[in-house]
Amino acid sequence: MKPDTLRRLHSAHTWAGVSTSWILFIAFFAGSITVFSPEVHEWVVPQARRASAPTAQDVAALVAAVTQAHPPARAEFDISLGHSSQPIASWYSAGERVSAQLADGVLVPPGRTESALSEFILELHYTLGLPGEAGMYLVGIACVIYGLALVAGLLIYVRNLIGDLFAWRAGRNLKQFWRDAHTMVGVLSLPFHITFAYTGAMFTIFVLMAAGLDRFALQGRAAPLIEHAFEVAPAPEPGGEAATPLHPAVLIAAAKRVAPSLRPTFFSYRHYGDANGTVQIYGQVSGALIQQGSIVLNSASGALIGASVPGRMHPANAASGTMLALHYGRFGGFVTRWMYFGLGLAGAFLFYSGALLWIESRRRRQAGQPRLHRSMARLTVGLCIGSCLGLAVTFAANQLPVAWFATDLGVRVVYGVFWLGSVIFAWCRPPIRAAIELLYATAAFALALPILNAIASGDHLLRSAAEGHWAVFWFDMTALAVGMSFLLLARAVARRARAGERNSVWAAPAEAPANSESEHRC
Amino acid sequence: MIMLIRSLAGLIGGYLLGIALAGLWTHWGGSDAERNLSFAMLFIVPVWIGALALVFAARSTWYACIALLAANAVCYSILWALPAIAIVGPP
Repeated sequence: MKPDTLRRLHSAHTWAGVSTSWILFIAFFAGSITVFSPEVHEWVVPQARRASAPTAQDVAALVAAVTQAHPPARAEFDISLGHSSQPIASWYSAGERVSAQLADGVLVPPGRTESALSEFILELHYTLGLPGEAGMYLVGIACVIYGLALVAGLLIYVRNLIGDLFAWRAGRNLKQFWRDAHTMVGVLSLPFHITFAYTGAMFTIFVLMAAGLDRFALQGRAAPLIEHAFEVAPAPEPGGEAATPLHPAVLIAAAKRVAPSLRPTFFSYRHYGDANGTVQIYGQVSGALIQQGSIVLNSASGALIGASVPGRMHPANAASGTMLALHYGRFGGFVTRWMYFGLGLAGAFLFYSGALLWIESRRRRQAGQPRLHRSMARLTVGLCIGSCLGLAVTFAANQLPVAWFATDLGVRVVYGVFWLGSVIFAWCRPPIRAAIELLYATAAFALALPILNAIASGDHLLRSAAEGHWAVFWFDMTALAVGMSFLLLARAVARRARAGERNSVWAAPAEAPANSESEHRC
Repeated sequence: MIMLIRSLAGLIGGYLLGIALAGLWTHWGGSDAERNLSFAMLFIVPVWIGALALVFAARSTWYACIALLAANAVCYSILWALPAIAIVGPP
């Protein structure tokens, strides 16, 4: 490749990386936590830790109660086995979604079984917590630009790939050290990053692609094709003939004849009590790359109407299921998920180190760095470390004896206040000071998580281990490890402030008096 | 500024090119339009990223923009003209 082309690709790699680094840092950091979503849920909702799984008899009792107490719900209602010992029914009543579960034979509003926090972290992963569709499309476009950074990076480094991989020069030249670390992490996790850029874009901007195809290329003929491609079975029409629905246990047995390893998690009933009524049973399957599936049965006869399980999937469902499995590491066991967790954090490091490299490589030799570089440093610290602090505080608040902190609104407010607060704080402080203080604060909150959990639920590390609550045990251990990592990072950054290049934006202000005047903004 | 122009050209032009190629594949990929479309949607993102990379690798911003515009014009002309003169039926 011509040196001129390589130079342009290098510019493209830098531009693409820097312009998306903040978005992708938050997406990767939150994404690495979502890999352990079930464990996070168990930690966040102590009631879920000792709940036994609902039985088919529990489902039958709930179905009977809902259909007798609310006859209009027979047209369409769902039963979720969720994370509680009692299943939860939900249906529409006067345009509102209503939920209920059985307690002593009476329908009551469900207790706290769902975790607003684990839902929020997932949302943060693909929307950055921004309202509406804007956040999702922003992440989608960032994924496409991230794809450009990968393609350009690969073309730049392809000739010296192996050489660069093992050229980690830890010495006095910090810029070289960061560059080598950035290249090494990028090359080692390249397949993972390619998968993420591609599947991330597919999930977040699928609607944009489908709308574009429908409007520009196929003039209104794409939407029905796409809808049909993802449909497991056509929506049933009521026949008007009454028929007694089968017991859920019989329906589960019929579904298991199609997919023996299916573990039901969700039932979706349509036209209950009608001869044409259906039930779609969603669940998890094992022994395949795609570990989720659904089967549609006639609820009165148990006859198979449609199935979307491994080996019996439409290509569209197979493609989306495969992407989902690869994106979240759902195809493997514990080791795979830990690997995804580590690679997710490594990805966050890649974007953070990329932004630092950009600032360092433009450093002037004299004191007083340009306003753009100082602003970039402040925003990188505030947005990136601020999101880590926001999440740590939100986890901590979730264990406080104030129920509002665990609600959907509470989680958003706590995260938003600390995240935006960090951005303002970093804007007002010298970047290096803000970085050190925010890192220490994040470490403190992360290290406090096991203590808060022990106080709130009594499940300290020894008890969790003794009673076999391994999800809670490992969550606490990981919080300690993450807290210690942030502590070490804070100390390393403090050392850098004292001993590093005096003219850098990362130098302590006392050592760079020429900068100090403009450093304190508030 | 040049980077911003190239990014916008690549993002908009690459998106439209990906959509056009997916539309062409849906028409001509085989007799089952639903399966063609399912497959075609998989390569919109790679085409999009490829177009973006080519825009940045090109010597001149104008050359990249014109090349992308021409590629789009050719694809959309085929897409809109051929069904209209009944050479290809609707998917």
